[in-house]
Amino acid sequence: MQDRSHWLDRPGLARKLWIAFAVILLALVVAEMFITHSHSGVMGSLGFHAWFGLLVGGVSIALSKVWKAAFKRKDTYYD
Amino acid sequence: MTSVLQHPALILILAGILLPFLRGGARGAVMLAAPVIALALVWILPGGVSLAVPFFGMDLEPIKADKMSRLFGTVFTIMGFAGGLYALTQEKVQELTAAYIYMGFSLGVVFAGDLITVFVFWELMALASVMVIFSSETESARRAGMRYLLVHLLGGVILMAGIAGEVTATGDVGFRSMLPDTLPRALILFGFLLNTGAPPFSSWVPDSYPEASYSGMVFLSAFTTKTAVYVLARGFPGAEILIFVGLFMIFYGIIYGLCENNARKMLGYSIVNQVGFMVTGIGIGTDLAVNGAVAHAFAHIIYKALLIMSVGSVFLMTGKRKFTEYGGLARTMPLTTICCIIGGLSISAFPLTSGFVAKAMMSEAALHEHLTWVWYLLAAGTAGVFLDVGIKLQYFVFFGKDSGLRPPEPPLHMRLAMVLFAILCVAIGVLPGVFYQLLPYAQDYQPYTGAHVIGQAQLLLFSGLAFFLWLRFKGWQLVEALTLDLDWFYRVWGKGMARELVVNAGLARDSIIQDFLNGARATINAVRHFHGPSGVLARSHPTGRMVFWAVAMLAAYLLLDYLLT
Repeated sequence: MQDRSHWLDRPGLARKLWIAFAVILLALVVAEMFITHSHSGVMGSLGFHAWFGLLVGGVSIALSKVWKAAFKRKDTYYD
Repeated sequence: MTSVLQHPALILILAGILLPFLRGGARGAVMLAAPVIALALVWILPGGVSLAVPFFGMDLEPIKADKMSRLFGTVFTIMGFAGGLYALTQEKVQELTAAYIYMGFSLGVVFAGDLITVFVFWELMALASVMVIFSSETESARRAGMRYLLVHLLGGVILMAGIAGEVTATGDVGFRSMLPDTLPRALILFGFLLNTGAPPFSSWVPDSYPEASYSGMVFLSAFTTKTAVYVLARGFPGAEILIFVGLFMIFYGIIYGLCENNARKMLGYSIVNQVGFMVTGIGIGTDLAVNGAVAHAFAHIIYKALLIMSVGSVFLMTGKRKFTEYGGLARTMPLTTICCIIGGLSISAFPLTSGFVAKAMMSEAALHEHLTWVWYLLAAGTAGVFLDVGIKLQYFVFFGKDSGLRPPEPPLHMRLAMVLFAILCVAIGVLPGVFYQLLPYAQDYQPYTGAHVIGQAQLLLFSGLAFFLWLRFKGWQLVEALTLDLDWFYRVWGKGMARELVVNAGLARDSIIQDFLNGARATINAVRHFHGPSGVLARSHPTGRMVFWAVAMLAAYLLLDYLLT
């Protein structure tokens, strides 16, 4: 029998986590405006790490999906 | 002169041999005490060569200590203690024996001052580690162990050929820094690289390690690949090819990790990925880069063991290993969840964790050397690791959909081992100064700058955002299938080729035998034709005919004589 009182099962949890996550992300970008960059050029531009991380994340997931589709075999393939 | 009895490896090997004869508390005491004594010996050993042995005209140096060997010796023995604590109730004593002897041999490599000693311990390590895999006593482990052994013996043969060539060419067995500028040195480099999980043999790590038991994989994750990092850092710093090899390993590990449905196998891919960072750092080769690589190896042993312990606990308590079977386990395994998250943050180099203070040195070194493209790829690799182990692993095992499984936390000793390593992950991240003093080269690196902390947090969390956006809008279909890897070439194609070779060789053999028989038969027939009962040479001839031919030949002779004279 499942324990429905656990905090993971509380309704609206996902929405609250999304809001908290968005606030943290925004705060990180805002905080960057108040620091001195140690790198020059593109890597020292405002929000570089943010969009680079998002881009790398998206591309990595897309690439893994394509790779999996192309090279997937049954678990028993080598048996 | 130091006695061989003071070698830190010896106490672990003796402990391994002793374990089958002990039971209960005595066995546990030996398992915990041996790594602690070995750690003390690592630090008691004097610097430089403390034991030299003449051997067939060569001067072997089985015990040689410096800052780098002490760094690896320290983390290997700490790992031995935590691994022993985690495996305290492991009933398969053969696994424990193999694991302790394996640890001892890895220390043998780390304190070797010459190539011959390195090779001997290197091969012994391969044999001991495969016994850890075999100890899980399953058919799949037996087969994976055999593949593991074949790959490592191949590496050993190549390494031996390289060492023999190097010693012949230089007359020196000393293990010193070199570049792969001659064939023997290139062979040595290849032999070393094979143990890191470098291409084209990267798949031996995810193929074999997950087949070990819940505790066996903890030991396996620490020693073979990191001993290889040690010998590369000592033998080939600045070998440019390592940058390319390391970068390949980083992205190979990420993509295959994201494809993988088996949690323990995914951690195997993650080992290759992390060792890729170290190999890249060694390829950059400056003091800061090598410091970063070995610091990363130190940190990696701890956080990777923590991750494998956490997932191993889940495996032990549920009996399942696939993401498709997990989900929502944080409900009943909160401590394991927290430990796994700390491991995930550390491997992702999140601020205030060990990975953050270690990995950054390699990126900084790349910039110092004007290798901007390497910096970008290392940053991309860091973001990818967070996606993989920092998010995907945690989400599908401990959160996500509720699998309905309600496993309890693992036994106390396993929890203690995880907590110990979780504390170390954070302690190293919070107090990097102490950690940096252990590194082989003096440096003045400051990881905690505002730009670094904010930049790293952005990089990681925004890559995490990509995961959750994908999950929200496209869904993440976990597929119960394996992904073909380069091992397909020797598991299927090579096997097919070998089978073809055997079949064709058989046909060729049959053909040769048939041709031989046909030839023999023809010869016998020919002999029979001329010499047989009715053969022309065996036939009896009438005397008159013989006289006739004799006269004819004499007449021909006389005629020729007359004509020529």
